[in-house]
Amino acid sequence: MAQQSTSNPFIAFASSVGQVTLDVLSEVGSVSRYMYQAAREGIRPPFRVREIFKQMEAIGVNSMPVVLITAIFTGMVLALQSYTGFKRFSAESLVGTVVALSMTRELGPVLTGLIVSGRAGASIAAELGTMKVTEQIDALVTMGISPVNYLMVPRIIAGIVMLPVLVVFSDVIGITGGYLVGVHVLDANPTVYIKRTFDYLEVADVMGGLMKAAVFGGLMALISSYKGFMTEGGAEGVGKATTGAVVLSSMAVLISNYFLTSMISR
Amino acid sequence: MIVVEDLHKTFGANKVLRGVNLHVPKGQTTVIIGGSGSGKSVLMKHIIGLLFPDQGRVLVDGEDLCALSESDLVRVRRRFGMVFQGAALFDSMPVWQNVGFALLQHTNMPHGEVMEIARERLEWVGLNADVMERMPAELSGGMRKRVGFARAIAMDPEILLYDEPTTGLDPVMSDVINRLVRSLQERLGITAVMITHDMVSAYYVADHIAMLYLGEIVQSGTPDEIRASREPLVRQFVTGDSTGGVYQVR
Ligand SMILES: Nc1ncnc2c1ncn2[C@@H]1O[C@H](COP(=O)(O)OP(=O)(O)OP(=O)(O)O)[C@@H](O)[C@H]1O
Ligand SMILES: [Mg+2]
Repeated sequence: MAQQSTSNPFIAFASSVGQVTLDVLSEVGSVSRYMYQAAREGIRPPFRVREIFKQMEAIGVNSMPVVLITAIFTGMVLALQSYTGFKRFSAESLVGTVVALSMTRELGPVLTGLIVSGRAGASIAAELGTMKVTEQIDALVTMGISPVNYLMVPRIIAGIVMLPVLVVFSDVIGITGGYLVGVHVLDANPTVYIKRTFDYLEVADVMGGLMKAAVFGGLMALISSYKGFMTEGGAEGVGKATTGAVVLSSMAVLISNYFLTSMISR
Repeated sequence: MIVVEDLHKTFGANKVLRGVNLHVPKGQTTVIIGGSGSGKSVLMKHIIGLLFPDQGRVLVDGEDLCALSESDLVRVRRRFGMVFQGAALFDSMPVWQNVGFALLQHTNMPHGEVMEIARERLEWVGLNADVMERMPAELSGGMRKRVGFARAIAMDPEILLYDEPTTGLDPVMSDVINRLVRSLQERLGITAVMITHDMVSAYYVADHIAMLYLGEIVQSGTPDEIRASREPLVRQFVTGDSTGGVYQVR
């Protein structure tokens, strides 16, 4: 290695950037292959209804408390912040509108996506990674069971279904949090606040947010399962896979969010 | 019949298999011996199509595993049962579901019948019915190994691969397993490959013994031929002599 590294720092920097880019691209390539395989095996029997429900509980139900806490405080702080800003040009009455639009279009889906990436993504990668290093995945294969069909597909389906459900709750609770702060702390008129909340909120705002959430859920489950399948090297490997799953899923949520938003807003 | 031809496998810089040739005759038990890390488990994973060679091929009744489509590979794999070196039990389900897993997955057999089969197979490996509802984490190492064995034989496979099935068992339980291996072969005509470090069990169950050393088969033959071998490597290995000088640890 030492002989290969060049004395020119610019070339060294460029080559390390190049290496990272190649690594990221090859990772994206392998994840896409799994996505294709999961899509193919997802539409074919056996459909593992019981597994899907189990995963829906793990990904959705168990994430509910932390999603709700995040949502209520986000709604509350949104009300405070937008009030401070809007007061400067006497638009305080729009606080409800801002909270509703920000929650449903952006913060509900993205924050929920990030939280679930951290919670469920880590646990998916750790569980499948442990199965990989203890040869349980090999055992499945020897018994003629496809790990993609048995392990990955139910998690992806559960992610796609449950993320929007979590976001519905997150939207409602976030808007409620905004209302509580708006009415009880900032002394807004309750009737006006509620009217302003719903006057400018369209079904498309909510639906757009839910669609994004579904994509985030699918990506999170796909990437975390992939990281689990790729695990190598005992407990240390499981740790690395878990961290990698959280980082990569969170990145995927944030990056895909931009492109989805620009598509949906057209 | 399983034929392994000129099998090469490298992990990174580690040349594990360097041209393995092996014939596993139908209806007989072939034992693979060899030092720790010599590549026995890797060889076994090639035989069932869990790993694929860099060079060479594996034929199962004439079918080249490398050339098969995924669905044909599944068909071939389902003719096998495998006992993993580390048991590889599914830790999310109780013992009986582990043993009956393939039945639950591939057949519509009611749970009662699956439990009945699981109970019977567990009895064969010397475990009684009160382990049925326990989780793998609640079992001792030797018990896990035997549950793994029971799982491998649950579907009555034609071919069985045993990766050190008696390691970690007490002498009496080892004997139970050795007799079971023998009787499965004699009663059902099962084709088997077994990896073991235990020469007593090797001589007891084997029709053929092959020794793997530095990624190649250095000698193979009947137990009597191996016992009488003049090859220094084999002599040193089967007598467990660390001072013989020829056998080098990688
Ligand atoms: N998936 C893998 N990736 C990288 N290296 C591997 C892998 N599997 C096995 N090896 C390496 O291959 C070599 C042979 O391993 P193998 O497990 O086949 O040994 P073994 O003969 O079964 O030993 P033991 O008797 O201790 O079980 C070892 O050096 C091991 O590090
Ligand atoms: Mg081994």
